[in-house]
Amino acid sequence: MQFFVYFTMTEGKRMNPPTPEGMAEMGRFMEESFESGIIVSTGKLSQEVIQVELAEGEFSISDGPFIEGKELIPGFTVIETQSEEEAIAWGKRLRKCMGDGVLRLSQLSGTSSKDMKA
Amino acid sequence: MTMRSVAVSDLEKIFKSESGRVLATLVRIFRDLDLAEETLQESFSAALVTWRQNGIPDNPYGWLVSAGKFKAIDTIRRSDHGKTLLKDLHLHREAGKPIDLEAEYIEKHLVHDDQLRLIFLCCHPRLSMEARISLSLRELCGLSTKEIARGFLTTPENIKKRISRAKNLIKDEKIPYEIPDKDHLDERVNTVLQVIYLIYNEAYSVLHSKDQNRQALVYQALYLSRKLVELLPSSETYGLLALVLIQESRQAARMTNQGDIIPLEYQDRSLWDQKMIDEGRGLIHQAVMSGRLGIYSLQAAIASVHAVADSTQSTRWDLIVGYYDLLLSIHNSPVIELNRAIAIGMKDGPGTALKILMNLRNDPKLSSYHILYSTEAEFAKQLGLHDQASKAYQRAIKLASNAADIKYLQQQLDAMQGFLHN
Repeated sequence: MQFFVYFTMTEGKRMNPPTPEGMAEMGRFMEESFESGIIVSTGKLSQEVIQVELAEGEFSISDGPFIEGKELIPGFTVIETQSEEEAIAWGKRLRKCMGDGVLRLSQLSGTSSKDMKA
Repeated sequence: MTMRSVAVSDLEKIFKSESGRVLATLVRIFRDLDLAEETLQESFSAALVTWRQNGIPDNPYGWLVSAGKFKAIDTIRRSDHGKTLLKDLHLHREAGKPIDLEAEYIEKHLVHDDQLRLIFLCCHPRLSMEARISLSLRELCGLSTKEIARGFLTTPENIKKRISRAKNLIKDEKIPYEIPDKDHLDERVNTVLQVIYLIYNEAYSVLHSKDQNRQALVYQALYLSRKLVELLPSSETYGLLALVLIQESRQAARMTNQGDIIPLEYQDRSLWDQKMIDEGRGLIHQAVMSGRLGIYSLQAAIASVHAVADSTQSTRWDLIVGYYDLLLSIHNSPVIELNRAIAIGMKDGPGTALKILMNLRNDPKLSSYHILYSTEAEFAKQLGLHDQASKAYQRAIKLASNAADIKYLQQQLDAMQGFLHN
């Protein structure tokens, strides 16, 4: 099963980055997770969003950000695990490196192009 | 394609956004920077006429590339230089494939790779650092030699010479137009990051926010860092973008109305650009998530600790010392040692820092670096060692080269002596 893992940052809220120890540990942990294949992909989410809107047959394209409020989602990671427990354990280890705060895991279920071709 | 009136400003916008990709593809097709540049200009001229009549095509990139090819093939047939090129072109063509340039080159992954190839070519380690910077600004950012010369306080002729020497070297040494293989990728990416960071440093040395040359260089450094993140997302490419953003976030607070430097300690932190800081902080997390810690992500982490602190006193100096330790473990450099000593001074007091600084004096790379002495002066002053502080200030003033730095140090020295005499 796959999970979409992310955390939020509050705009303008002054938080320090992970401690040097946490950072070093996180680097090792990530490398290990890439090697074992738990991490499917990880990347940055742009705050600049392109919006495609259809209204009465007319398209309008505009540039965002569109999410009002002060939460930013700086990046995402998709992980693949055998169970929810395994995903939570992985999340706990990551959060421990990062320090106090929240990490959210959202299970992905859907159809991929591979399934459609089969 | 719909008929509609096309404004010149629309065309300019498209030229601006497409020129990098089109140029990169043309360089791959022709294996020749000069010809590709010439061709790019010609296909823009052709587009200006055709698009204003017939409207903007659905795929401007594809249109410009094929127009460029027609123009270039014309040029090639006409010139002697071209005849040699044509022979080369045939040699480079993959065996068994028809010369159907049209369909062959307009695939997306190729465009992506083309841009990377051009970046790696411009930043090739065989070229001198000056050549890499000039070539990158010319080919990757599309700046004119005049604009580059202004940014680096030299003449356009100099830049022109630099660029043509670089191009000749590329031809003579047959420097390949390729993406480095896995074993060399990290090392080659580092040379690209270094070029971008030096472009930014050139801008950073100018204090005036409204200085147009400064603005141009900052814009290009950010453009290139973002481009690299897009083409090659990795820990260090995120790290460099984060570092540039966080350093640049302080721009509005760096100078007094009289044009003097304001050190970090005395800056009005409410002037720091919070949006840039936020983006930088997000990128640092992503850098760490991407696996490997490197010099740019760690420097960005240090900058971000300053960025989130309300004052020098409340800065988490312990974190900063820790990041410097990590930094030293992957890249041993006397300048990093010096910065670490400053952080230790802030954390454990000036006495501890002075002891480390005295040891660093033995390092030949630091012994003529003005910051070593200005730092010593600051800490000595805090301990009431005014003689030592005066000597150190004087030495720093002698060694500094930037007028704003010299002025600042002189003011510090005068203020301390004035205080002693009153």
